Amino acid sequence: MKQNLDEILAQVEKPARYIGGEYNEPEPFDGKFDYCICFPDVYEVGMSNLGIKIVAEAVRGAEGAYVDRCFAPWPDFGEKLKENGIELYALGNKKPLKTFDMLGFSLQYEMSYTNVLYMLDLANIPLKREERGEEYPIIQAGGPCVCNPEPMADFIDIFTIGDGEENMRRLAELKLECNSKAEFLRRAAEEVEGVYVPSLVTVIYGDDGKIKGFSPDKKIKKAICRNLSDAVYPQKFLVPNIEAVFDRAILEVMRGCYRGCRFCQAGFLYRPVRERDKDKMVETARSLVCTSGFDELSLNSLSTGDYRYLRELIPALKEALPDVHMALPSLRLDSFEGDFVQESRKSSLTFAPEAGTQRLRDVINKDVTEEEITRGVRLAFEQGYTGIKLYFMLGLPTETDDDLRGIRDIVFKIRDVYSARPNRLRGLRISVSVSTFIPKPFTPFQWERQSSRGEVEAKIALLRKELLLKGVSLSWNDYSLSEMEAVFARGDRRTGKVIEAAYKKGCIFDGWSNIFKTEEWYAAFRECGIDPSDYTREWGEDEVLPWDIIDVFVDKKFLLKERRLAYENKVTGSCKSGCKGCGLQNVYCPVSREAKVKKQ
Amino acid sequence: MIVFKYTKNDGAEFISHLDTLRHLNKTFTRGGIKVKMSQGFHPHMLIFMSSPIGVGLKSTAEYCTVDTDTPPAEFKEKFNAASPKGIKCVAAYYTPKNINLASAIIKAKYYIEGLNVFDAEEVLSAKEFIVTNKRGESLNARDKIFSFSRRGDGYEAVLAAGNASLRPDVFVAALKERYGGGHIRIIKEESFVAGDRPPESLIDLSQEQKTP
Ligand code: SF4
Repeated sequence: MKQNLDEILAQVEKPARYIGGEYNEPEPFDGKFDYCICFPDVYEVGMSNLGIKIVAEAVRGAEGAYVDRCFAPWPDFGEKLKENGIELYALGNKKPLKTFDMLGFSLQYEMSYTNVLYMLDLANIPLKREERGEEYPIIQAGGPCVCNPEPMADFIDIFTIGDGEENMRRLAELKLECNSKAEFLRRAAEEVEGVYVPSLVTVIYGDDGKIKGFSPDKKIKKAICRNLSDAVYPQKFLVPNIEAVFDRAILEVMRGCYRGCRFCQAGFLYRPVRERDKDKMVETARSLVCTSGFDELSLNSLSTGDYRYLRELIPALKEALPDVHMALPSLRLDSFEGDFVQESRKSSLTFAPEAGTQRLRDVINKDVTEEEITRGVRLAFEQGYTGIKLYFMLGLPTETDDDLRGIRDIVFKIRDVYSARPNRLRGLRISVSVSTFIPKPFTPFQWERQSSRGEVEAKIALLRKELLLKGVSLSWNDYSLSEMEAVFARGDRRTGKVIEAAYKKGCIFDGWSNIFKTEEWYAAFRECGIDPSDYTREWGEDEVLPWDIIDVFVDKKFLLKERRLAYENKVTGSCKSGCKGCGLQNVYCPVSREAKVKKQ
Repeated sequence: MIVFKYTKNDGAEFISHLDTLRHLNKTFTRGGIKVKMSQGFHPHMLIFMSSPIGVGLKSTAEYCTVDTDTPPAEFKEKFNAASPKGIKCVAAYYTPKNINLASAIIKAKYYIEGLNVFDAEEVLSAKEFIVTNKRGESLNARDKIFSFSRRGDGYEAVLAAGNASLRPDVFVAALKERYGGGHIRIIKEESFVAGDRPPESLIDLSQEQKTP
């Protein structure tokens, strides 16, 4: 006998994930344009994401647009929905996703790709765009991963590359002007910034199976929001029904990063740096806290310590919201300031030197010295911290065993700093976390190969030996997961087949290492005749890259120069010390412009 | 201090005990109800909830004590203006001290729908009533059933609550196994302290709130 939704909810874990009705939820209505944001991960993760809140706000800017939301059902609920023939529905109006005009997937990490298929499937929507007629919603995708849209190109009708503040509203308006899906897609590609419609672009392969080019051979330029301070920003957050990953108000203080670490994709994708007006942010913070009741506020960006008005912003926020704790999640080691840190309620502090030696940190352009690390931890100890978390990468270009031993040296230096302190009440805990380096598109390391399983295992074995110390723990991630992530970060259109095959084998929630199905994934690759090592190999500098169809305005020449410098152990430094001519200066970069003005 | 009675329905029945506490916290903040904080390294609002109710069970009789100087009428108004769907204050009282509701409430009355029709007498006339608890153990819970009768289309039961409670979903699962039924809905309608009196009876109403 089939069960109804209420009966099912009584049988699943955390049913409040699926009921909507969150505090601050806008009243559902039948819009002229119904848009549902689909987040391909569980409720607690999705509800913590700032990007989808901004997109929701942007689309609401179009007259008559209704915006709803949906998250990937945890497997227990997903199974029940299938068993009982209930189609996946939006949380606000409870209508099947199928009834919406457009579904917008937020692609935050590659390992959520199977969940996109999972959600489409649960919604009874064909997975492939070619199999979807006019009767189905338009499937759109945005988020950082779409800088290389190709692995998902068979499933998505329209990708939005870059900032969503302006183009998402424009898309909603355009949809109302169009009479068919084909017309909408064609016009969107022509008229809206940052739009990529894969059905309008053919990939040309050479005899060797490598990509020869694209037809038409026209790059899709990412959308840039030039004035963030005046752009849409949510003034109210939905209060999650159950505790989310981040149970707090979020202010994005700036977008982009001055630093240019050579492994960091976000650092290149989100160029140029745009800083928000501090007074407006205080107003936003006040509104977010008063309307939600959050008692924590976090100041987000890739490098919040570099935000130029931080010294004025923090006291202003403290004055406006005296009872609110402040969290600065991405505070960098070298901008570490003792008086800010005490606002956080955690007992351990995180540092990310990323590499064990100065030489290797120079290679990756991570501008942090050992003195800065020790100064940072000393300040942390003075604040009463007794736990330090350290993040490193394994398998970076030019890395040797000496670089790994450097991790041990850092651990020892931190211990020395702690031992030198008077009245130590508790033992020091240091946890070292290492992750496998993944060469990502649009970074100077985009051509690099990824270390093999054997190499990574040997590196971990070495570290385990080196770090067998009292009070020190070491953790690392699953190699297979990093390998898949590399494949789908760098994949071409052909890799989409593997995603579908893996989904059909039951792979969902792949980012959850306890759910990740290693065997099924490798079987899917074999079935599709695709070798992961074709995508984790080193790429020739003259090869056409799958993501060459996208233009994020960072010149390939600049990336190549950065790669050379890396091999010469030379740092480039931060944009704060002067424009490095990455390419954005020819399009729009307030930092570069300001530097020029100063010179004159 | 304020003791208040509130609902958990309209979706809020799916929110766990801990998450309900989080929502109460936020409601006080949003509503501008100033709550006193605990001392110590991790200060938190002084909120004392009655015993947890299972996820999925509706209630119109949850209780909570909160350390605030806001007068009852104002409290109720502010709370309801800022509380999430399904969590609504139905009554608020001033109390000079924290009456420990979690241990004082020993019985609760439930209304149960969705069971097949059977003779309610059978439950009370039997010496034993075997249930399977959440850990999968079978035990006799007869002494935890204080009344059971048919009411309208459903049944009404008074079961032990608090420390030695009989969970209504456990009780109803046993009935469903014996007599059959469909989709079960359970609503907690009332809570009782010793002497089958309402929790409000513990509040010394003769005491007026001193204006702080
Ligand atoms: S244009 Fe210059 S200042 Fe702007 S991001 Fe590029 S290198 Fe930095």
